Amino acid sequence: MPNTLTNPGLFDKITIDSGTTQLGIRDITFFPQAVQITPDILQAPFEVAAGRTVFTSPYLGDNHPDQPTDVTIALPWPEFELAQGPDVAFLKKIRKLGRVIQLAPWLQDYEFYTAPAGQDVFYLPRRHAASLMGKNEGTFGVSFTVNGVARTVVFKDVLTTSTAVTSGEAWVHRTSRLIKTNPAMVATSEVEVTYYPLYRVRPLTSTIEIRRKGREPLDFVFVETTENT
Amino acid sequence: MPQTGLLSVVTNVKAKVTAQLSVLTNVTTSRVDSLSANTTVTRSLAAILAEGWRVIGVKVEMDLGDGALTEIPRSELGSSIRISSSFDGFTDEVSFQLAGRKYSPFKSALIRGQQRVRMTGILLRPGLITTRKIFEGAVAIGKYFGDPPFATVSAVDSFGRHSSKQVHLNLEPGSRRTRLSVLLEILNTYGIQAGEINLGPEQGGILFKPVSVSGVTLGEFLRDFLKPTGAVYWFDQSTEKLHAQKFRPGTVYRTLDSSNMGRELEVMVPATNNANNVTATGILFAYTGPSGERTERSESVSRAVYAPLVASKRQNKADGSLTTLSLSSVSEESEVGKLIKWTNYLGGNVVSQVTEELGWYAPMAAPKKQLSSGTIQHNPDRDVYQYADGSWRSVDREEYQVIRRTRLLKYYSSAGYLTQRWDFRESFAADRQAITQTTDGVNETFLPTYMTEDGVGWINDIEKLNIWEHSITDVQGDDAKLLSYEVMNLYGLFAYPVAKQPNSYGYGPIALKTFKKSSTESVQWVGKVVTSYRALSEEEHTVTTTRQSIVGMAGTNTPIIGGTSVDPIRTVTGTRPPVEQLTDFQAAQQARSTAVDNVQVALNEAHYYYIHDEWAETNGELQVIAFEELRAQGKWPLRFSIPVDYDLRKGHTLRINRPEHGLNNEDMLAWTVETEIDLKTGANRQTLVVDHFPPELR
Repeated sequence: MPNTLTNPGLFDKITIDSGTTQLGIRDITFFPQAVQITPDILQAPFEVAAGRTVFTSPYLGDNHPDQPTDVTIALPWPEFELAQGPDVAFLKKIRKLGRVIQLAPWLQDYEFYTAPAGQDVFYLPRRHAASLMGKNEGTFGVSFTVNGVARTVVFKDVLTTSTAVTSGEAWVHRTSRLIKTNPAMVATSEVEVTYYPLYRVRPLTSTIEIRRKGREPLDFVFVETTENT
Repeated sequence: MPQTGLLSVVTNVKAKVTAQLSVLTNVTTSRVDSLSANTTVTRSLAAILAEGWRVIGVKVEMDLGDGALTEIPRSELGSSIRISSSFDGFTDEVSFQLAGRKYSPFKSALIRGQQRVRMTGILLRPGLITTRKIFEGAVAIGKYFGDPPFATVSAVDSFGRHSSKQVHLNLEPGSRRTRLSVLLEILNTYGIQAGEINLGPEQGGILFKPVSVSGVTLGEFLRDFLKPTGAVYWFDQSTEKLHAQKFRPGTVYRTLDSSNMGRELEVMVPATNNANNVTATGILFAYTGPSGERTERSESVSRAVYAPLVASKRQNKADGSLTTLSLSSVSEESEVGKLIKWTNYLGGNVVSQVTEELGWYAPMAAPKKQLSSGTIQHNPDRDVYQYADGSWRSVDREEYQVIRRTRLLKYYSSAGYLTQRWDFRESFAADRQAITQTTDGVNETFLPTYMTEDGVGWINDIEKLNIWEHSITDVQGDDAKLLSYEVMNLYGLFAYPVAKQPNSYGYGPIALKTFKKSSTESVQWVGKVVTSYRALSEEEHTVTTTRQSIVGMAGTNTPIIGGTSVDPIRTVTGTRPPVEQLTDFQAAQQARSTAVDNVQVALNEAHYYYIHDEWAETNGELQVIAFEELRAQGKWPLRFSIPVDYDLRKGHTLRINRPEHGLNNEDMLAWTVETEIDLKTGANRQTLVVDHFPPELR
């Protein structure tokens, strides 16, 4: 299963569930046609008489990003070769696992926080995928900037909201969504975090089309489900 | 309920969020002995409401059976929350959904028990959070659905827990309780805190009517009970206090214009056949002031064709010469008599009464004067006039004036029983005096005096209106003997008669030569009437004997008693007069008061509407009821939506500025606030009904 490209991002192989798949988007011999990640921006418009609109987003909790989203991921493999063997079997199995599946497309995502003075705890909307899915934390890293000034990101196995953080650093918990930084914000600040999200999804639809011998195009649609961690 | 002065200001704003507090305290000590504080965090909210993008949430806490409030996790909370708050109902209500089989009524009592529910609204722009308690109450109605498993829950506010309870209240007639005191007592009974209560003058008015209420719910009772004050009441979720005030715009809470109102705007003008002429009727009682005293004045007038009498001759004071007069008197219809009566009541009892009788009268005058030499000459001090009937008067023409006056005073013991009554009678009379004196019973010397034509000596030469008679009645009782007495002492003009002996005075030349102890008459004791009652028992007022004895002066010509005598005791049987005791009683009278919207009448003719209200105590209160009904019929409700603002509640004043519709900064009152929030998408709206009152109805 050749995939010589190791740069993170579009050319990296998608990790599904426990890292057993090797499905790359632009894999030379074996790729889905595209990955469609549709972030549903959670908001509702209210049209006022002046012809303009007030947008409202749901509040998901304290220390969360400004704009909540909810993603739908579509993975169509129109030219799926049966020869791909174990991957085909794995994808077919996924449909029947009956549980939440972890999916990391290795696409960098951005979250913005408007943090009031005093805030030092941040929650990513989804966990960072690298540590959990066995990727290199340096390659698939997290960046943390406060008003455009980056802070050193350190991954930690143990981190709570009360952990003392070294000054100038932002500590990221490997297994949860927690980030804690020091110093806390001195005034309302724009905090930008980049990371590689690990989505918890369930297959909503999966179509297998029998076209001709040896080809079974697969069409998956995953929807994001409750994040429990 | 005296409040000792500790004001605690609580804000829900999170500690790490910088916010400015504006503290507004309303102290209404003159009306209610309590302090209410209204703390508003305005700046943060205003900043958030100015944003084109904002974040909204609701935290729902519920008592899950352990007595503590526990936050319902998002995963168990349905997406839709609805809060209804309107003057159409008595309570605010929220509905929401709880997901999960654990809410099945077969598993727990969570949705069928009166579990506490609290909702906190969260409204923020990133970096700035405000939270507001938007609801505090208890589960009222729960419904469970099996598949998917979820329960819909309706909760009513803290007032709603009581609003359908039945009120039982009895007040004696004439309780003189203020509506405020009754309201506070009732709120206290149900553990409801009083907020800003303004029931208008006299602390909402004084109750004289008896109150007997049962089988009426608290919500309905308060509505009807406060109606004569014009006040509406509402329960405020954030302060958990009940406010009661007139429905009038107050401090402007927010100004709304096209940039924060939804596109749809609906104005419901009153129907052209709406009532515009409202009459409130009720049975009222004469107003009694704070002391319980009231005065009634009655007047009866007699009119007739009458020509006032005039004099035919005048006697000149200089020389006693008589001049024939030719005075004319026109015979025309005029007042010939009038009786005015002022009666002062304390409760239902007469405590004093004054009557005045007016009529045409010319006071009598003495045309002569006797000198100490015995010479009788004309009256040298005053011209006097002789009328056609030969009488001598002080003026040449009758005047319309008070000719008789009576005064009655009653005194009651501290226990409220009648102890004494005084009767005074005033009339025109002259006080007489002796014209001769004898020291030996044989020889008489003359005394200087004014004298009438028939030789009676007068101290003054004309009659005057004065108290010549009065009586004092003492009321006593002897409970042990089941006896009660009334002793009426009589006083009148009198001079004691004496035997004709040295140092006696005598009137002369009266034919009988009655001699008196004093040279002049004076008002003094002349007799008494004693009436005693013996009752059969205390319970029964049936009297076995009534004994009356009369004692008076003999040989007098006092106006009251004919002669000294002790009348034999007269024994009669009958009914003992009821003990006169201070009671509360007032006479009912039908009253009506009308309020008219002349603008509507001009537009749409008059349409009449009648309300009968038994709670009104005064005409003014009927006027309030009529006017408030007129306002209710003539108001223009506006319906529109705004994005949710967790502070806005029913009863708030909003300033609406939509100049494109001719609506320029009009202050209106929120009548209904319906809040809907979709927790999943953040979609939200508050549908408002605000009431506009045209200028004539403000």
